[in-house]
Amino acid sequence: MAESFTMVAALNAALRDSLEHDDRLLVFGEDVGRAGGVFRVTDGLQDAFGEQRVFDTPIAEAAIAGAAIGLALAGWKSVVEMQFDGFSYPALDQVISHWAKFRQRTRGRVDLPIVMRIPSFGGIKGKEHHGESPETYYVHTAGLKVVVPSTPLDAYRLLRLSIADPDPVIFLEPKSRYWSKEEGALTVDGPRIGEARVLREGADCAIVTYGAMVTRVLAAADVLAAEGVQARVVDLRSLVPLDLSAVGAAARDTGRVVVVHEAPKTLGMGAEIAATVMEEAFDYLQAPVARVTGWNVPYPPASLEDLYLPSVERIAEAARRTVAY
Amino acid sequence: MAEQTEPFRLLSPDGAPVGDTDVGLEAEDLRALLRWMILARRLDRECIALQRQGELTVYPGFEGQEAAQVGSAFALGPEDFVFPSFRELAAALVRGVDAVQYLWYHRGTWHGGPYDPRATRFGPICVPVATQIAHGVGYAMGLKLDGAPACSLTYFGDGSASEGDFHEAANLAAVFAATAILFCQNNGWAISALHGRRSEPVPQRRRGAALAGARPDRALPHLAGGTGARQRRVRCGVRAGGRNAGGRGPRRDHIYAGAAGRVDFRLGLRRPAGVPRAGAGGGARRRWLSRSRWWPR
Ligand SMILES: Cc1ncc(C[n+]2csc(CCOP(=O)(O)OP(=O)(O)O)c2C)c(N)n1
Ligand SMILES: [Mg+2]
Repeated sequence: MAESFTMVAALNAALRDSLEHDDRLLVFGEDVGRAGGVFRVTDGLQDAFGEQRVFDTPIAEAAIAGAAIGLALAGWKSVVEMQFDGFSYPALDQVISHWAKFRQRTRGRVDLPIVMRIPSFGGIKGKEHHGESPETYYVHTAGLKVVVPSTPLDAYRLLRLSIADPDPVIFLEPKSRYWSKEEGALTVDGPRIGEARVLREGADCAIVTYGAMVTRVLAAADVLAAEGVQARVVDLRSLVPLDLSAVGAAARDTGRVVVVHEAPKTLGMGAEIAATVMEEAFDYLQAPVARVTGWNVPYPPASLEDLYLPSVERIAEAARRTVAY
Repeated sequence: MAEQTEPFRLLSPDGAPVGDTDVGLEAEDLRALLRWMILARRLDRECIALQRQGELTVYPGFEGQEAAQVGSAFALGPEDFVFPSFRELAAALVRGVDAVQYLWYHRGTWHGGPYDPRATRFGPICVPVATQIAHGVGYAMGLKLDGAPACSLTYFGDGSASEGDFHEAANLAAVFAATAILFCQNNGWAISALHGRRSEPVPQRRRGAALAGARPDRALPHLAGGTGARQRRVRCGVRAGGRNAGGRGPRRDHIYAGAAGRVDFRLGLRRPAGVPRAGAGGGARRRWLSRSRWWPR
């Protein structure tokens, strides 16, 4: 029987293997050392690699992000953890003003091999500031790569690829999937950063999504299949670079596209996908692109969370309407 | 470094030596220091002229801050790394950055640092104030991990010291005992606001972060302070200078004058009380040096 991994275990293994593979790699952030991270993603790493390479920092997100730049100039690679999505914002200035621009500002002379891991998105009945969807801020900032794993094995692959990348990568971890399990072998082989994957084939419509919504979309595809509608499910994985050919192919092959994400609708990834579909496959479209998203409101308290997040039923209903159009 | 909030002074405003002026430098070094300061002032004035002619875009002048920059940069070793703000052309010259490449930035040819930051060990020009301080501290953390006998030197302004970034970075430096020198050039201004309006004196504030500090006055103390900081491997020095350090107060037309076009940000700018008139410091230094054994007659 193949071994099975939670996403937390897979991420932990990716950090462990990367630290082993590259002795210039550092892992730091708030409570990542002794405590092993509030989600246990860095559990045991300080014991294994020492306080020099895996360490706790002051609660100072801007300084954490800024220090990673100086460390890069001194020849060190960094994986920094933001404790939660809602607490990554103090670091935004460093990310936007420096991480994203450094390669260009130095005329390509200086790499910034830095990964920012952010436990992201809702679905855990968390407190205020613990369920944000910050992806658009980063996607909109030219100069960053932005990836979102949806399953444990892909989380391992994406994190290792992100660490090996010479450019800054924003790594958004769907915290509601941290304890989900997947069977198989941990490997970096497979799709690269910038490549989407098709998780289910289908000719009647395509549902494009990423992160924690992948599970709900797959569940919706099951519901639709029982009704005779075959949906292709595309897991973007990489929001920047975006796999234009996978999105274009999904639209051309099915003529009907639904986009699903947790983030509010306005200027979310759905808007970008819809526009991309028009640019890549306008003549093939049989129906307008549908968006199933969070609402344009601040992330709600736990008791209202289920009304906010796209449900299996909302996703299936949007697909039905798109197919019937 | 000793607790010191009174300026460390070797030269009075009228050019008379104060106390023991031997800072352990050869005559050759002293001449080089003066040469850099004169060269920097000449280049700065040229740049202001070029900016007025439209050859440069926004140009942040540094007249009166030559000593702070030249002295501190001169004290560094080849392995040390400088993280500038946007006003450190004089320090860049001393570090061997090509002035023409540096000025591509102000000519609007390229953002950041068109020069090679690794080869020159001079980081890209940094405009979002105080954000470069964490870069300097991170660099020093890296040096420490490598056990390298070097330091980083980060420049920032008095106004920038009000930013949270300054406090975050200073605290980080203290927590990791990083060999980072945080160099506050207090020119008494933050665009329009006087020092004291926008920031408390910086050397006092670094106590909150448990850092060593010093407040040098004029180039030689800057140099002495700089080498001292290096030699004693202090964890971190926050130092202030600039207005006190050189002849003249800040330029009346500050960095935004060029970009603003018809909007005149200069209105309301006044030379702060107690700041000597233009040229006083440079002349005093030269008078002192010409009286001394160091100046070729
Ligand atoms: C984060 C940020 N806020 C505002 C500005 C606009 N700005 C440019 S220079 C300046 C004043 C800086 O004063 P100080 O730190 O004393 O440096 P000086 O200009 O005197 O060298 C300001 C507010 C900026 N560059 N960065
Ligand atoms: Mg100032």
